[in-house]
Amino acid sequence: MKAVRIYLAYFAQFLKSRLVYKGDFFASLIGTAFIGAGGLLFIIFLIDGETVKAIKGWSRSEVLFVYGYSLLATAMFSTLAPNLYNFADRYIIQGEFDRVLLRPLNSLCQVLFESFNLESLANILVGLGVVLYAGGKLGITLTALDLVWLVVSAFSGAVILLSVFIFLCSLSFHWEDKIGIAPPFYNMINFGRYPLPIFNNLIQFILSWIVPFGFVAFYPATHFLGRDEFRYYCYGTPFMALACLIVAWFGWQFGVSRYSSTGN
Amino acid sequence: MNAEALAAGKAAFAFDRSFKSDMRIYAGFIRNGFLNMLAYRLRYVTGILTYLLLVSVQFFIWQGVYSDSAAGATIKGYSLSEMITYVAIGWIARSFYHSNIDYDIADLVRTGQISIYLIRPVNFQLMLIFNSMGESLFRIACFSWPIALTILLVFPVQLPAGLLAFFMFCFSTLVGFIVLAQFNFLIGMAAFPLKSIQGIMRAKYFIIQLLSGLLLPLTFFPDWFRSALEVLPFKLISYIPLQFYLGKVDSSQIAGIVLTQVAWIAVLWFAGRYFWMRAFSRLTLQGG
Repeated sequence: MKAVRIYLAYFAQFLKSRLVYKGDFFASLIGTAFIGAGGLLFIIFLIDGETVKAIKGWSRSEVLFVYGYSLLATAMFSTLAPNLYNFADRYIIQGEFDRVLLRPLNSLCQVLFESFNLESLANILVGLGVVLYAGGKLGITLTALDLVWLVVSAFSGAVILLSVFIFLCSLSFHWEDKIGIAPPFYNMINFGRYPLPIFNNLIQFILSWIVPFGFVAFYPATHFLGRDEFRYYCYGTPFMALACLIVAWFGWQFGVSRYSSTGN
Repeated sequence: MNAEALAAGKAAFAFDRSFKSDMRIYAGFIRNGFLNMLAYRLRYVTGILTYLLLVSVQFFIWQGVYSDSAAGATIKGYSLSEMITYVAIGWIARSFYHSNIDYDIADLVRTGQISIYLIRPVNFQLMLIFNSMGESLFRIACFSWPIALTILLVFPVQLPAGLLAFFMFCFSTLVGFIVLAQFNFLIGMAAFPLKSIQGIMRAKYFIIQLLSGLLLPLTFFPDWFRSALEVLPFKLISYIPLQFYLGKVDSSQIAGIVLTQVAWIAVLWFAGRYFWMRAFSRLTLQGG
């Protein structure tokens, strides 16, 4: 309980510093929503329903549905992610990790709670809007159980994304580099925003079993799209999230045990 | 020789000398940008992978779009092969023309270091553009060509439509660089009244990709949107160079396009100058 109070204080502290520039904060909020909406615009313009009716058998509404679904998990992930993005530079090279280790709190939670990307939360609203709109077009009616699945799978998706990037961060304990190998993985998230079958077999395999971004939106979304052929993957989403979290946790602990300060 | 001619000769000499020394100063900024980029290492490998992934996503989407059509069929004026070329060459060119002038200005304003540039006897606008030029040249020398090579090996990309087409593609990409750099400068100017412009820069990143035609050729936009894009300068960044590459520009249109390019560069230059002068006279410094 005490730890939770401290993390809330971390959050409050961050909020104060972020709201120094109120105008920019609200501009960021709108800007982030723009990026989310911009991806939608691409799909809407591309699949205009007249000349282009579908992408490999996936209709405009289905593609939009998956894209909107992906915004839910990625929005939650990006809210917590800024320090993972800068981790190697800020904590290892500039040596801030020393300070983290001196405090009697979990090192990973400290890193995650020292900085937020609150603007990203705007995309949860965009995502929900799109899921409801596209869902309506597809004639999907939501039962209470469906809503539970939506929440569970969105959280699972966020956990998968966090786990992958925590694991990548833990590598920077072993070899130092300002930027690290994470940037291409951030781009790989984009693959998870579209129906997986449009990609070739190799990419589908990678997105299912190696960097499991297929579970961030596409597989869990098939629950609503009535594509039974993916049901094992679909309902396996929470288990995949758990497996990723375990790997990331051990990776992180092992990395921390190898940490040697840059000194100063 | 009379006095007037002598004075004119002196003035011409002075102009020549100051022009030469100016060029030396700005050449220094090119060198600076170049050396800054050299400081990164792993960034090359991850950078190449990043571009490969960006093109891959687009490649599969377009392949999916054309999966219902007969081989060689065109959609809105583009065959699948042309579209793959459009996307691949578009991203390769982007690795050259993109710039971070807005970030640089935002940083200078945030830290207060902007004050140094107020007392330097150089043109702030030109300095930033030349600095970006250095970075872009660095990317061509070390970054764009391995990206190009990787992408050309992986995806079936067409050759340029002809020698003139390729020349105009290169020229237009250079224009695209200048247009984007100046647009970024204008975005950076917003940092003076707003102090922090993360939000705007974030939105801009994607909006430029869409409006410049990098993601979709202009023919794919709805009519009302398209007619707006035809008027705005963003198409000069990506769409126009790619039209040249694919040989979709009639030679009779070239003069008109070049005129538009020059006109927009001038308009953006004076807009940038206006906002810089305005910011200059109202500047409050943070920190010190």
